[in-house]
Amino acid sequence: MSILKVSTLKSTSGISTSTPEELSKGRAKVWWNYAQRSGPSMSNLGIENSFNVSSITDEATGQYTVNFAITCTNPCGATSASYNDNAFDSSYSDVTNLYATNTYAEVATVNMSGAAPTTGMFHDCDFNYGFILDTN
Amino acid sequence: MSTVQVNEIQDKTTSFSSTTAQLFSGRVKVWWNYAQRTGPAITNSYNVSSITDNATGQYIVNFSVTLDKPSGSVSSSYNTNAFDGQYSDNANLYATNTTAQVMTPNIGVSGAAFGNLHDCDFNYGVIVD
Repeated sequence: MSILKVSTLKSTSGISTSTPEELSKGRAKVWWNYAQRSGPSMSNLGIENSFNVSSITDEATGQYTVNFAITCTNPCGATSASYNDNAFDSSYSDVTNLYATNTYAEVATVNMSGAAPTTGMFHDCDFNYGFILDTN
Repeated sequence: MSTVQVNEIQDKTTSFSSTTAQLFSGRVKVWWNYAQRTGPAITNSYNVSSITDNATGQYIVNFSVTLDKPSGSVSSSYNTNAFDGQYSDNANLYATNTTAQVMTPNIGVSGAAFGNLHDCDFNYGVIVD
């Protein structure tokens, strides 16, 4: 295995530079694309794509837990969702809550629009996206 | 063009290291900062060819790269004061290999009725793949 030890990586033009610390802290450590709902547009119910995810647990309607394949230190991140393959479907306004620990992320998806379920209640979504950053 | 082929990049103290696989999978492939309300205009972006103002509170980001099965997240603020309690800007995301659909409903008490769509000054998104 080859390891390059450097202080700064720079493009030949000198415009783009990155330190190893910037590369390490700036890259996503974990991310996922998860289908919790079995919508007609879905090619695969479950994990569509992921990075450093060991599994995703379907906890309950509108609730899932992402289990990391790595251990983070002080993770940060963000999540989004769409009920179906039309993000413009105004019947669904999908709010997502995220709580991230070093080894897993809990996500809740709440519909704040007028379609079922009642406004403010959990519902499963076809498309659940999330990524996690970390200091190490 | 010069290319360095390595398995891992470290700083000299070895405090920070990244494999090339981690860098490839972990780096953001597409991002944008889009002003739909006061533009519409792209304030800044990466690997975005254009953004289509689809309708009030709806926009489509057209990627200049083709992705596999993307993931990501979006956020927004109606104006320059994210603490403005009149506006609570939710954002829905549906990402394909080449586009991202984003919708911004207001679930605050001003402007568009609760749950109705509205344009925002600041729309942010990041896509990984």
